[in-house]
Amino acid sequence: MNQIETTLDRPVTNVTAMPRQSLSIVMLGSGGSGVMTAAEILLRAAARAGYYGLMTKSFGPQIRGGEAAAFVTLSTKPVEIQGDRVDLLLAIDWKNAERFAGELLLGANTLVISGEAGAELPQIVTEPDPRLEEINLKTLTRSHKGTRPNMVALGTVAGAIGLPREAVAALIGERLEKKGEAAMAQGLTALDLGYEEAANFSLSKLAAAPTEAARWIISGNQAAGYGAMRGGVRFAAAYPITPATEILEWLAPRLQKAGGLLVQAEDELASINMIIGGSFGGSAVLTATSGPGLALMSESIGLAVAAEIPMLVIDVMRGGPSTGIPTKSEQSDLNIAVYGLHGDAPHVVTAPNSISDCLFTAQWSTHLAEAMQVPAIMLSDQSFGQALGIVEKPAEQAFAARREVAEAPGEDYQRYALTASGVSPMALPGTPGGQYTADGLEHAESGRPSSGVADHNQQLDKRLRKVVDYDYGDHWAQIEGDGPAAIITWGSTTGPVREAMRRLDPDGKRLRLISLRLISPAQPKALAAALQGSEQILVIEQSQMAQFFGHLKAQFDLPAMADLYARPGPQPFRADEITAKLEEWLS
Amino acid sequence: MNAETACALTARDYKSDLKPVWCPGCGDFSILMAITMAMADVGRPPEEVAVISGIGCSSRVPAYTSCYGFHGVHGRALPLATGLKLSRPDLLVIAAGGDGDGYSIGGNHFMHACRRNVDLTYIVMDNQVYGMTKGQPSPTTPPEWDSALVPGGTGLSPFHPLVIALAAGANFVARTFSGDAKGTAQTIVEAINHPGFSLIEILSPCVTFRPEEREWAKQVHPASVDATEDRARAARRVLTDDGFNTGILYRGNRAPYQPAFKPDDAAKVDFEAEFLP
Amino acid sequence: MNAAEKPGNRETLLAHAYAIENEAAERYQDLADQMYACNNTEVGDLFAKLAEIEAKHAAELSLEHGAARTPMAAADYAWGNLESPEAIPFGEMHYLIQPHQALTLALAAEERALAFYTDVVNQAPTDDLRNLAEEFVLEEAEHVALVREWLQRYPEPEHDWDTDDDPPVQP
Repeated sequence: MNQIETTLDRPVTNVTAMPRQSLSIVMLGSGGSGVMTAAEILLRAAARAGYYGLMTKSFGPQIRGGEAAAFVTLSTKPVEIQGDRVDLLLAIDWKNAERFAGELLLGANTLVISGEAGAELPQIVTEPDPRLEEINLKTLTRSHKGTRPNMVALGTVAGAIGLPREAVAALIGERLEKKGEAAMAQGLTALDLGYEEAANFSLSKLAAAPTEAARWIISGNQAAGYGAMRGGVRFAAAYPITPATEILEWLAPRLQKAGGLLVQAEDELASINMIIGGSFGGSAVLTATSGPGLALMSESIGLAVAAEIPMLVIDVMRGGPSTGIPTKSEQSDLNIAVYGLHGDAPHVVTAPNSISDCLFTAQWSTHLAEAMQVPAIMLSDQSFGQALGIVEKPAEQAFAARREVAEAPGEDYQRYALTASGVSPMALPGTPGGQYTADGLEHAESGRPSSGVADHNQQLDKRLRKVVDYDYGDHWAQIEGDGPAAIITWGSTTGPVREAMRRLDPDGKRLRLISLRLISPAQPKALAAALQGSEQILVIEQSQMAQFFGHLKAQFDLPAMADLYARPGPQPFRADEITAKLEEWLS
Repeated sequence: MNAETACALTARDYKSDLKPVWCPGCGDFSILMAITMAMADVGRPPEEVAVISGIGCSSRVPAYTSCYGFHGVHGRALPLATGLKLSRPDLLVIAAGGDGDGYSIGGNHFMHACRRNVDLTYIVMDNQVYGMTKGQPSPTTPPEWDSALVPGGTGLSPFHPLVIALAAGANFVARTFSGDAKGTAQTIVEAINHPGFSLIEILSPCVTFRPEEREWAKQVHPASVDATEDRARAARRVLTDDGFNTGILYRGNRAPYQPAFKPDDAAKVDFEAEFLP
Repeated sequence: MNAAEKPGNRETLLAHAYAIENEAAERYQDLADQMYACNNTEVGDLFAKLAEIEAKHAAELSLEHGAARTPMAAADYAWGNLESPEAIPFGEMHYLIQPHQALTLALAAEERALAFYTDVVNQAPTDDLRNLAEEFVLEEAEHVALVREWLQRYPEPEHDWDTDDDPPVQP
């Protein structure tokens, strides 16, 4: 399989000869062509047929009618990133397709099917000299009443890659059931037209799916929302922002079902303070935002540190600074998340390393926040958040919100009592005898304002101790392989690194992956242990200023010979890019 | 607290033994007294009351009560109070602060709290100046008031909190004077008992930076008319009065915003079916 | 503002008297605390002393005359929503206030209380009530005399009594 993936650019005489373990597909269209719906049905049908997959999206800026590209990779093995090269591109039309320059990685073996008969193809498509084919969607749909081009396109793609018709047909049936029998029949007619057209094209089929296992289709944003709920979050407040809004829209009705609530706030300053209020009242809480929103929230996250208020803040990172690129990913909020609070403000920063890990990490982060009475910032990003993956059903985790609460505070109750762990039992409003004023002012153990030397030092120590001394177990990082060449990375860069490692080192003897899930507080001892026996270290990240590398150098005992590969977004890392870098680095 | 005293709480039971940092002569002393008197009158035990504030002289008030309190960041008392009340509807939640905190840095939250109409009582101790930062003009300061930061005065029309509250949808609007502690206490009781968002704007002299405000005692006078349920009439009245009319101006009947909040942790939250392909 | 008539029977007079003394005691204590907070110990001590006297007086009313400690509704007091006569308004304070000024304020407060009880005597519908009110008038007159005597001990403040060369502190 690895050989096939890496030799794609070389002309292959008989492309249909061998089934493929993995295929990458792009569906393109504009003006309400419905490519996203078609691609999502394709993904779901593949999931039902037992494949793994990943769907990502790219759009023009228009709210309606803009050009859109759906990227779908289907595979017999877990998929974390899009393939190196597009195997099949089907365009319902080509309007403004130049927008996707740099994203459409076409090669000589790419099969391009133009749905617009006789249309002139954009240079970005013709330049790599792919195999060009045509179907006339307009004629086909006109000759069959009620059929829609996107459903014909879906049938064409599904047929071309050898996806069983039944799986696709069942989904179309479910989708169109509400619209009546006629609509269902028309949908199936369109699908069949596509399957018939597909017979004309030669493309490697997908290899037989692995035996059926429990799979989920889930986006990183859904997984984060669900993870937080599994962690016990029942109260949320937020302000809409791309690419985090889906977390909020997923949560709102589901929190309601669980007796909880999501409040839409007037701005991020309000949303962060609303959850501080909710947490002060005893609820496990969250807000979700992106870079600009996190910047607005940072003063109040400092308040939560000082007043020891647990909360989960999910930052779905996008290209920055400022408004930046709201719909594309970048790992450039690390500095603001770790270092963006004023004062000495210890808190927790975590990062998931895959779509399904968004669930684990959100649940874990909620647990950490509650256990330590501290804000936790989870750095997800757009490439997880807005991608839809077919993944193994995530394992059940025992983590839940467990806050140490003062059930029966006595006469001498002190909210910020100095304890060995640094965590002090919290009295919840309504509890007789526990009354105190939570304060952003430095305070004595009682909570009363104090600018005294001893109080400041003791409270600072306590707040640092509770997060530094906490036992994070093995979850601080994902470690794979034990070769002498170690790659340290985090977040969504992990997927492409994993894929490159699979290609270069299928047995895990040469390379070692250390993907940090706990970004802060730093775990220098754990990293040093994980680096035992490594002879070479490479840090890979998606940030122009190498924020992660800087953090490692400042907070961890990173060996001086550590190398760096860092570049900004918006282009996601591809496995071939990382593979080439690793080959160069290893040689 | 034993059962006997629990059934007859006095204002003193709502005071902490922490001594205020305010300047002697400050209107906020009377307002603190009024707040504790009002709480005794309402009769909820201190542990069922939460006093939420931002930053400023008057925002120090939570720790001077024996209730649960939150002294948060500048300008954000209202969202914090909103989050607490929505997730703990069983509590009596009072937000308090000054004119800079509420009308300047917290201005957006002020409008939206009025509009959202959560069952909160918002006490603004308006001294028309930033006291804690040593005397800068606030949104309610007269245009000609001279200060180091804005020499010659702002030249700007003062912000009209009562009219804005009415326009934004507050459900109860009143103005009182700190020197009338008992009247203020009664107004606070009425505000607490009135559903939805209640604003009590309290004229509270700053004897240090605005010593001329000591004269307010002679200038205030009770409104000659009773509260109305007519928002437009209330707005007209307050726009045309001299700014020293005290009393309850408006009592509305909008339903408060309080979605159900009954989290059931025991119930298994299972949304996994929707992730199946 | 609603307010009741002057007390017309023993029970309401006792309630008024208790409120006058109790609120004065609390106010003096609050003012003493304010002065202590500003390190004006001399005036703080004066107010604390006055608080002590008023508190003792309130306790006597309760113990010897059976005055109820539970306050009535505001509207049932002759002064309604206004401050009770013997409480110095918070707004009169200044952190640099000197004993002479503090005692002048205290004297005015005691005189207001004396005037209140004198009015009750003059308007009392029964001998019984008049006798009780006269008792209070006597006690209040003693307080007035005491404060006057103290006042003699302290000089009037200089014209620059409120001068503070340092600017206010920005906490």
